[in-house]
Amino acid sequence: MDASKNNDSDLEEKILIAHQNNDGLKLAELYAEAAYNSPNENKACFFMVNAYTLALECKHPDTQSFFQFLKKHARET
Amino acid sequence: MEKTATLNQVCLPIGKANGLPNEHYTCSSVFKEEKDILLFDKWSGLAVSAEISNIGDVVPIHFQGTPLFIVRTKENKVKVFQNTCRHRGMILIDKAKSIEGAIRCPYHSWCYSTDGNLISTPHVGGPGRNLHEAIDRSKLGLTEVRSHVWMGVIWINLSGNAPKFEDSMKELIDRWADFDRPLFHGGKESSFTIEIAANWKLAVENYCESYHLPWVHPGLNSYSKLEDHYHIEYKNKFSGQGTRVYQQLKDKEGNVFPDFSNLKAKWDTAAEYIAVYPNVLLGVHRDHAFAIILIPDGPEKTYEHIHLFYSQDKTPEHLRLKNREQWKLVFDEDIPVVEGMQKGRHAVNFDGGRFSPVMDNPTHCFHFWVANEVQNGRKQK
Repeated sequence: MDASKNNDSDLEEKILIAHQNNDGLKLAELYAEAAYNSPNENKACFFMVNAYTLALECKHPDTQSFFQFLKKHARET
Repeated sequence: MEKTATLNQVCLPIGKANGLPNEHYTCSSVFKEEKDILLFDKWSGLAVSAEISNIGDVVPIHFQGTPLFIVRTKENKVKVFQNTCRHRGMILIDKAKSIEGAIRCPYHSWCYSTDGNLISTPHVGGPGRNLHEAIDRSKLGLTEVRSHVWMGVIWINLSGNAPKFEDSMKELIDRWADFDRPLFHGGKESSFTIEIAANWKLAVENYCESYHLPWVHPGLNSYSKLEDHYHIEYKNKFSGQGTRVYQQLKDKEGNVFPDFSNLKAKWDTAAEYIAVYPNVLLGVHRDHAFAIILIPDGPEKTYEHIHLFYSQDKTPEHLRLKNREQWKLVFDEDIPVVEGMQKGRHAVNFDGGRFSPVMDNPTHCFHFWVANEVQNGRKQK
């Protein structure tokens, strides 16, 4: 059994639940986790864009670090 | 005899003038025309700043069909924006709430700061890319509406064409310099709304004259008599009435509201009630003030949003409640006559009516302003 696939689907489910609960702070954290776990840059940046967007809305304490992540990959300025 | 008075006749000296023709109270196309000329092109009342008392507070408001929101920015400034995302025009704020961080569009999540700057455009350049050369965020901030806070009221100029607020309202600001200070909204129970089946202008007209007091407000007239009142008129700006015998509200123990500090002696017994054209009715007294913001909803319906203000943040609740009830009684007494005048505007042979050259001067002042502005607006088309 592939443990990483299990982790992915587990994370995906948590993200869906957080969306249902409209829990922006949690969502930002889960998307950031997905970004950090992603195997390639494009996928990581996709998730980090989501994390950063929700973090901006909720004033998440890690907003700046999410921004720096995107900036480092030339996805933000 | 003509069936309706022309706008030229409205502008004649009061002894010869007729009131505004019926169509200015009943006709949808004239209502729309007046909306542009009298409301959008001037400084109109929108709301009170007390509705957004904390940083980050945001309230969506439709003003004559235009979706807006008011916000208290992180810098503690009151601002008014068009409530639409610069991307697909989606409504940004759907209910009153407190914004913690950014304003996020619920559609594609473009994000704006509370002072209107576009700060994030997720995936705009493709998945995972927040940038695209065609999207210049510095030019895509929220569309701000000119606004100004005075007497607790948020005034807006939607067209952007009016002179600066301080210049537009100079005469009244000078007249009421004593009250140009922080006013403290009395809280939830000090706000109420009255819905009237009448054109908004009839609410203005009724407010600015004292002629009707003996008949419509016998309670008020028992201590503040018709002869105690004086007219207030400033052509093309405002009109209203004052009384020389204002008596403070007292409870059984004789407690009163604290006065505004350092008022001129005039205000010991005087109070003034002024209609600020187009849609704000203000009242000032030594110990409290009020603002009525008229929000038209079509030619024959108006919401009157009433707000009471005091000289201090903390005032006795029982007095505030009593004051609210006292004013609500007065404003409720006006409803039948304002609605009655509206019904009268459907009489095809009504000629706009005639004015008492002695008692109706503030009303004629308002009619003159409306007629003059509408005529000028029509010429500019």
